[in-house]
Amino acid sequence: MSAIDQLFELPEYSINNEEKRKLLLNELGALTNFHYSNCKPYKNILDNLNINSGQDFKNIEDIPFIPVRMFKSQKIQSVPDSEVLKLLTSSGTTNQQVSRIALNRETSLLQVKALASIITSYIGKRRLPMIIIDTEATIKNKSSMNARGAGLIGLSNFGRNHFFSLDENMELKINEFIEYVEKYKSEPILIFGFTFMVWQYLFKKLKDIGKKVDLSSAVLIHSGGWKKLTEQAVTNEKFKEELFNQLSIKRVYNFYGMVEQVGSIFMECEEGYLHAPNFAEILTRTFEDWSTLSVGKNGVIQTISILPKSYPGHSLLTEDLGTIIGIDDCRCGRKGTYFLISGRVPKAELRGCSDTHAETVLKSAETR
Amino acid sequence: MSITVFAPINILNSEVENIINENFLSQKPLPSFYSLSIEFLSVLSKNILKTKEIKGYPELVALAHWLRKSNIVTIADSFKKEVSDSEIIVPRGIAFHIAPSNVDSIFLYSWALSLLVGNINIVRVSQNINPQLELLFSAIREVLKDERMESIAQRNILLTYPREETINRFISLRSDIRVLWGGDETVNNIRLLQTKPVTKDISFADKFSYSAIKSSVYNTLNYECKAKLANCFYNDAYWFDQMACSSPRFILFTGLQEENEHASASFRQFLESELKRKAKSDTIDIAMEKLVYMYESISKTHASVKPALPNTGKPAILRVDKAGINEFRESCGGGFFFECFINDLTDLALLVSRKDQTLTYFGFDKKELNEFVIKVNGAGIDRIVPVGQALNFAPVWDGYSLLNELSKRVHIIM
Repeated sequence: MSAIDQLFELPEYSINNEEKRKLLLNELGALTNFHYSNCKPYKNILDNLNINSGQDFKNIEDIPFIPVRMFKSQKIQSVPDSEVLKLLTSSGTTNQQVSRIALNRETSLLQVKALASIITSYIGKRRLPMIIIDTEATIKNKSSMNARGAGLIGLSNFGRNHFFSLDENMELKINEFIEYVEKYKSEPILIFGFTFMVWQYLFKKLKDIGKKVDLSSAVLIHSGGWKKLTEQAVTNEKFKEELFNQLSIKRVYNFYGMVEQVGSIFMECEEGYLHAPNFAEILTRTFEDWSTLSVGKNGVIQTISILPKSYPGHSLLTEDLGTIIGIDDCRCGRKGTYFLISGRVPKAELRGCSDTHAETVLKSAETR
Repeated sequence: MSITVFAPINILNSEVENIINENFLSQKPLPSFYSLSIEFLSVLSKNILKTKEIKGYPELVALAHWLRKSNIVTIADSFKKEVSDSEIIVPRGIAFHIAPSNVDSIFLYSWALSLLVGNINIVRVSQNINPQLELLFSAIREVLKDERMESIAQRNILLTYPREETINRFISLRSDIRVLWGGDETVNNIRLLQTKPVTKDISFADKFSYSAIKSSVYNTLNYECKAKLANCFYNDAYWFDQMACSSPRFILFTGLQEENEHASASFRQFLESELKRKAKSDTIDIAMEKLVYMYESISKTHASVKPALPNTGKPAILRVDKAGINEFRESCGGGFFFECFINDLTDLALLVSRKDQTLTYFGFDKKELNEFVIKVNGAGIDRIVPVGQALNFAPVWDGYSLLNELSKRVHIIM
């Protein structure tokens, strides 16, 4: 059985680190070599860094990484356009270029499979009635999809009788929402939405109108980053506590993931830590010389995934900061590396003559 | 109060009209090289130097030195020498300055020269008011407290407002000269706005600068001289986070391959020591910029030698082939360099392009540099200065003789 098959075959979070790294390394070496042969910019990078893509990489740390921002500035893919099934783009906040990720059929299928393996290990194999904290408009265009749309589509596979709970003005369809909850009260409901939207458009709305809803058997899965909530001083703990008070939800899982590595998401466990699934790994690096850091040290997060076959995204240096808390010994019982995200690398504000330009761009982006 | 710095809020067109009103616009300019103007600049120089925080901002120390009376008088005198006795220098009238954000001090140079020739000035500074700008404003306010400076205060307005076309248009229509600092896009946008038929623009747009070192001469230097040169280069490159137009982004070593290898290795070592001496270490945001920029660069080209990943305490230098000069005319800043080995300046002459501004040099004689300029024949390069003087503002900038541009000559034929 190939390494990748084994990783999919074995129960999620069941492989001890040593074994898992062996399997990953096998696959990552092959991926490095494949992308080297099929993606010119990637080949240039490895050539320049004098990395032999055909070598037997001894450690997972030796697998070359590329900065995730590169997908914003250039087209980086390892398959011809004719094989590209869909193009994913990052949501991109104001004044940012978006990433463009080309998926072929194989990668896309692997992503679906990986996500299923992770999510079902949390909620079981049965499809649950599902409330989506978003508007249906987000998933209208299926051939070109932004991160939010891709996330919704991915997660919606685990639900049935989907209910998009927001209208196009991001207002909670309150009556329909209550009816839906009532209708499915005898079974667990799956709720999915982006962290900020869950907070702003579901929780806050219900709190404002003083409406408590009993969703005690529901599972909430959410993602998308904490930036806006951190600004409002909402921590993960507070988020969970408030949702419990208002909606009685006990099972709340955040996940860390990115459009550049869809599928291999890092789910939060009952202890509040994010876990690397079978087909992914996390490393942290110091910005001082980009060497890897040991457990417990805060650094720049590198994400590793064996899913990207159509673009060299199997080893990416993110611009997120975090700390690996431990390996294989989380109290939740899951094996593998577990970690916490602490924030993002701040954006450099360099001085310079041409800076009036950035100001103009910013301004026009804001008014858009 | 004539120094008006608005908070970064949307101000209405009408508010601008209140400030830049008829009274302001109808004033008579002061005479060119008026003694009070020179005194104003000289007191300003002293005030800047007096500021406690000045130590942290070497570029402001340089500015204050430049504003000293002796320097301003020298500049004025050497300009006057160019003027024949049948010509008289007079102000152009109202000058509208758009200052670049973040190169805090640069607008002050062109404003000072404009003030020196007697123009009435409206200066739009960036909304992004950093400590350096605050320091400059308070030094200016301090000078203007002196009642004798009233005629200067009345004729100079510093303001900030959001990028607002209506305000730029309003001022443009009333200006006799516009001094535009900024990126290409900013400059182009402003130039689209209508002006008086005779309004003249001085544009400072995106530029690219490099350093050339003659390896055979460099290799003969002793320890002290190499250390000194590294210090000079540090000032050129690291002030303004390498983002000034004249900050070197390329380092060219000229000579035989072996000489260049030797010089490059040594230069790198001394620059690293200089970074240590200055306790200069990249913060995480800059470190990330450099890493990304290095990857972007090596994904497009073939580096001549295997680059090391950027290290916060070491110079980030990527060696590329000659063709690389034309491939990399952007920079992430913060001290990221491309390095290239060439035979001599003739090699470089072939690669110069329009946007090239400053060549800082070490080890070349006058004849070599003259020949180089003649070979380039105007295709690029506006100034050639020794390493260490990249940021020294000179009255001839980007090929403009600024006093000449900012003033008018009246010709009398008897």
